[in-house]
Amino acid sequence: MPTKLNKDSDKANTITRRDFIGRSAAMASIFAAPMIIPASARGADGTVAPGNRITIGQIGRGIMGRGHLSRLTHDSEVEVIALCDVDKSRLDEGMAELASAYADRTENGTYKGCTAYNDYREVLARDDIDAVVIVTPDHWHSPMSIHAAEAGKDVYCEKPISITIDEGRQLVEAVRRNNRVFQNGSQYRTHPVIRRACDFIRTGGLGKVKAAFTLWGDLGGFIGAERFHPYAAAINPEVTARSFATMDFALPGEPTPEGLDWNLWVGPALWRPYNSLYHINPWPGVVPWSFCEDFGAGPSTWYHSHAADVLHYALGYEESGPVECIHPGSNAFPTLTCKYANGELLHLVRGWDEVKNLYGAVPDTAVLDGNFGGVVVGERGWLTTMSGGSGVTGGPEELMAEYNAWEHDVALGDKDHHGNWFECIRTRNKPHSHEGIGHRAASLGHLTMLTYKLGRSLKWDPLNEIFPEDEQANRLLRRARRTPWRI
Amino acid sequence: METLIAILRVYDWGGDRGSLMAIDASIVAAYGNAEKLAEIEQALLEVLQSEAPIPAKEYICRQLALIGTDRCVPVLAAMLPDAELSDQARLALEAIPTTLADEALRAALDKVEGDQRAGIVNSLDERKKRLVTSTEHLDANEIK
Repeated sequence: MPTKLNKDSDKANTITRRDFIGRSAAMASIFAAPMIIPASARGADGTVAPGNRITIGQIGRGIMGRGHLSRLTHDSEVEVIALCDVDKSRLDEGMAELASAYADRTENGTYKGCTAYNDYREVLARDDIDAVVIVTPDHWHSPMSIHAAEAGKDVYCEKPISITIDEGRQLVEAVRRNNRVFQNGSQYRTHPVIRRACDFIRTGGLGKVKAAFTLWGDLGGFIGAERFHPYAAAINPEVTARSFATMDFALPGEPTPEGLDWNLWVGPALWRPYNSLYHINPWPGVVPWSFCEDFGAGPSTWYHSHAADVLHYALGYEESGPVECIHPGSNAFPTLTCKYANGELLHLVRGWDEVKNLYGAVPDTAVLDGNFGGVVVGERGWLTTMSGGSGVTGGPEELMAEYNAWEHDVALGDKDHHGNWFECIRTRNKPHSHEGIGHRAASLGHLTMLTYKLGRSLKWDPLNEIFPEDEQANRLLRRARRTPWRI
Repeated sequence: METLIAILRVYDWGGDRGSLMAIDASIVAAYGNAEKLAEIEQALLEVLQSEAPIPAKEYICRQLALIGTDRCVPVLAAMLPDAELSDQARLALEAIPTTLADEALRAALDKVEGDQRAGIVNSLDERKKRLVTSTEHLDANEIK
């Protein structure tokens, strides 16, 4: 069993990072209050001793994984000591990036190196790894997170954290049962400007909230890309592009690239022969698999999962959900609408223009051009919680005069979602987007998708997480896994 | 429906998924109409018992996960020992909330070995988990 010792001082008198995290986890179940840690121990002044760095294994090194790796290797608080990918070419690239990023640490003898893995279970089996960052296709998010929690690792997982509501619930229970610190990769939630906008709404800045709006779209925007053209016979975008839910395409098999463990890539999903559409989306494209219901969550993966927990934060339903999803076929609303317990309505629109044109919810002059958030409308006015574009906008003027005390510009670099997770690993507090929040954000996407798939409105019990008296819809809360995978 | 079923019979890897969307729509439209759903289930079962390609049978199992009744359980149970179709059969059987589906999975344990047996055990375990009360509300403040 590998053990790291703090080389900078007498072992007997020193609490190492591993000791600290272990003890804190145990104490967290006894004490409800967060522990106060000196800033130097948290690495705030950049003086983290090598033995006190959080040791991390990253699972997945695709395009998103490259970004995570860069973030991790440029942080003095942490050290990546394991990298895993079922695609050897990506793994080799990642290992080269690590060697370059840690050249100084290697030269001064404070870095012992990183091991490359094909199988994530070997990463989880290491006792000297504190935490894992999971950056894989969606269908692996819950199983890997659950296995990691059971192996005693803290977890940062890309969003959406599940592809069914049931596996998300099982993830929450596994994380809590094992006292792990889990961060859902919804980075904008940590952005200070977004948080202030949400707090403004949540504390009554808009008066009683009447409605909120966020984006949802059909498959067309994704499967219309050029890389899909050679597969038009199987995809039939003329028809399938209109689907608002992912689909079970039977793409033709292709030769598996050398060095790719396709069997492990498919993992718990129903078997599909290799096809490059699942696997490769050239830069700057990401999430190539997301259109396929076995591997991804479609619009939830693309943008809805970025917005859902921000809106739940603003509305105060972070660990809950709607009580009804109203299908547009009911003619109650022009677009799919989620209704919450206190009467708030969340309308899913295809573009921000529909907030004006279909609902007349904001003035024609309103500037709505951001992403990864939404528009919230209350008795006193409206406010956006979006990143990018024009930042936080709202009205009327008197309301914005109140809000003007706050910042508007959402400079994307200001967020430090990873930093929030590192701090919580040390303090054993809950991160900004912990497992319960991540689960409910993913669930909102799944509820939306199921409502479209079933073509009718669905009642939802957010406490018990079932569709009351709807046996057919309840069947879609979960999905059998390919043998021999289990969670 | 006959035309759609004819298309389904030859649905293979690389086949046109769009051509099956009319079946999807028929199932959605039949919600609450037991007679119509039974008619669709029967038509799907006939293809499932034919020499149709694996993607066709997989598509059928996905639909049976949604609308399957005890009528389809024996057919699905017979697929459990088949290495190429066992997972698809479990996709449907695991979702069908009847005692007969449980019994079919348990009975298959005596007949199936290896990975397929592990899959059946996993399906039985998942069905059992649904009976366990969620612990979320007890554990919600455990890490604070």
